[in-house]
Amino acid sequence: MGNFLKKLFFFLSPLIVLFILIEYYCNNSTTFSIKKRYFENHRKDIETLFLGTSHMQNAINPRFLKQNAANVAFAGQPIEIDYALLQKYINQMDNLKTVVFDVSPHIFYSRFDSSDWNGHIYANLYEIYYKVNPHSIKNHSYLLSNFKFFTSIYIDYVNPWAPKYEINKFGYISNDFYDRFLTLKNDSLKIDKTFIMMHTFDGKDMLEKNEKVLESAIRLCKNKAVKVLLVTPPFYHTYNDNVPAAAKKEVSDLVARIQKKFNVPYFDFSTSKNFNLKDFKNDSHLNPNGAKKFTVKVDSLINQLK
Amino acid sequence: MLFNTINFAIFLPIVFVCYWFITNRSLKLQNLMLLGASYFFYACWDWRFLFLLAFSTFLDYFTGLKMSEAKHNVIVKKFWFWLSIIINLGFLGVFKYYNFFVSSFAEMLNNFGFSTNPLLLKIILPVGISFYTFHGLSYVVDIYKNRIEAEKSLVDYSLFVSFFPLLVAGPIERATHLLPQIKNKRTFDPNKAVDGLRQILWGLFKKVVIADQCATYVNTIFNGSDYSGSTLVLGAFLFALQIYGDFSGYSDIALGVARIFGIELLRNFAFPYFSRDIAEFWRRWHISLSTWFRDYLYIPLGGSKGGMGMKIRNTFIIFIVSGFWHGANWTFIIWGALNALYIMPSIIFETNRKNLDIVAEGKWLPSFKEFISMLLTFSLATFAWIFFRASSVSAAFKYIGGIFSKSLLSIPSILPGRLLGLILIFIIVEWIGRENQFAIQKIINKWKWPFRYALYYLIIYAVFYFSGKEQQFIYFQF
Repeated sequence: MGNFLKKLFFFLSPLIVLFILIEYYCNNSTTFSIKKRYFENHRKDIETLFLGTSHMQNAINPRFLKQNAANVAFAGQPIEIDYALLQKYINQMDNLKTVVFDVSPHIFYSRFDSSDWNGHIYANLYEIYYKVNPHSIKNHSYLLSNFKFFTSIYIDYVNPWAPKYEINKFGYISNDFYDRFLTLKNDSLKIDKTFIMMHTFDGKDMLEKNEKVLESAIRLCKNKAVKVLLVTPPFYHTYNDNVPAAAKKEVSDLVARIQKKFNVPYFDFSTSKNFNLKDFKNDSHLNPNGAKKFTVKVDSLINQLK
Repeated sequence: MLFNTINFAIFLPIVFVCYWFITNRSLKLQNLMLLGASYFFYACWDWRFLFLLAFSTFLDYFTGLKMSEAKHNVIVKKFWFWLSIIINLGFLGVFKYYNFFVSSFAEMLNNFGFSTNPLLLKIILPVGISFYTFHGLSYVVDIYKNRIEAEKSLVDYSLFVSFFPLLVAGPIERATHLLPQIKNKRTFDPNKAVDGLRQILWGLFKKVVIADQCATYVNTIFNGSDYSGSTLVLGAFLFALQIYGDFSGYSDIALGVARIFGIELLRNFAFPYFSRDIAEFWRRWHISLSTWFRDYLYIPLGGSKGGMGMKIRNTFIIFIVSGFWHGANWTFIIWGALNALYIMPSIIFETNRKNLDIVAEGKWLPSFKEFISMLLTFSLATFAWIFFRASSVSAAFKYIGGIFSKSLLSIPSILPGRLLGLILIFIIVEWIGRENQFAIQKIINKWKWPFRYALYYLIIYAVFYFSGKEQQFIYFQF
């Protein structure tokens, strides 16, 4: 038995060491952990909070805002999580003046599955247990929550030939140009030809459900005298052209209803002519140059609200 | 708790330590600990059904003792025997088949012009009920037939029924095979433990890397509409790989885990897709269920003693019952019947025991004839799997209709290149290792340890890399 255990230990040791290294890296140097740290340390000073999905995550670099701000939007973040974040933290954010919601069309149709790995990330970052088992060990480990994603990040980190990401103190990746458009060398013809829509726009039940959740989130802000801004970030025309007309209308009607009900301003940049090919890293996400332009624009809008 | 989860990866070492280090001085304590671990394992799925499991176990234990006591009193013995059979099958009937029978009956009445409103119940199927019921049934039948003595220790008997590696999806064990192992002191054998770990690793690879990756495409193709004939063929091919990877992967993990605890379970798969005819396929696929039906249904029905007519009838019966065992749906019944039809020529011409050896044993490649036979057998099995996978009989026929269209010769609209590459590697490894219990059992033994370890690390990496969403095992629903 002793010999067996020795051999087993010898076999498992490299795996354990590697696991610890990757976990340590993820806990300290990824956009997730840096955002978490910034949010934890500056919660009381934050004046503007940005919520939403990867569109907002990529579109707002808080560095270019005049006020203290945090961008806690993440890829695939459902409105329920936006609402849960507000419920959990709004009372701890003494200086919070404005909350900016991402109202991109696909958000209202997205279904958050209980087996989606993001659930464990929210549990890990904010102790929000949305559709996850609160006792799951995955809530405490980046690697176990999504091995493929976090090992690929770590491999990029140790691979001398891979691009190195620069993440600022807000958790924003300030050189995140590496995506479809760069691969296609910003060739608009190739970009137009090779577009594939990744989002789905069906499910009226989800639309209605998400509308109610957004209403609850706005109501919570209003009750705390926090201003609300609804924003659709810019999209490249390939994306816009492929969002079904029916979905565009449904979401536009939904946003109009909410605007009217709560008297909140809405700014739609989805087809803005101020953003061109060079401002995007792919069809639906701004690159850091585009984000700078957009953040400055949103900053002026927030200041106008005052 | 699923085998392919982190929770199980924590659970297993804890049980291992308790088993070999804390309770190892007393066999009774060791069995009690394993029983507790097994009940905990089951409770992680749904603790409420523990009572059903405990009741079913106690029923068979008690009736077993009563039958033993009434050895010479045939009437009393029969009473206890039938009591156990009726209650066991009653549970299975209520939980698994109630809605099927009620809705089928109502449909039949509707066809005769009677309007009915059947009372369907929202019944959750207790995981593993088909498996542990069959454990109990074989035990009771064996006592009734005087093949074994009733087990006196409730703990040992309970462990036989609910030993966690086999509790939810088999292999379906026999009291004659497993109970003696439970009653005898186990000693730790490092070679067996290493072998067990290797089998677990290969099982995980089959499940996570092959079956779960196939599942994504299979679900898309089977749930979609208007796919070309060639895409539908690809869907059926991938499902054949999925169900094999899923179920044989589960069985490998179960056997590997049991081996770590010094217990040998019945082998459940023996490279069935390398079979040269359907009879051989069924000797190699879900072996513990096939042999169960042979011993407890086919032979009691008369087997092949009553001439060709009885042989054909009994073959049809066991295949149809086997299909029905899988689930309360006509699709499974048709799947069973179709396999019975496939096997008929070999029954009639008495060639069903022609291929008892391993194909191309000791050779690198099969002969052309062997290759064609394997391809044909695989194609027949894959065709039958369409019924197994389809949501309804009409969906299965629509799927088959879609295959036999002009688009059969077109390029599939879904072509998962990376997955097909993985499948090719998988088939090659399985072929090379087909003379062993599982593919990687011995083929890498001669390698130097750095290469062997590198391969293990590669498999571990692949398992983690592909383990996105946790997928249930297909056979859990049975």
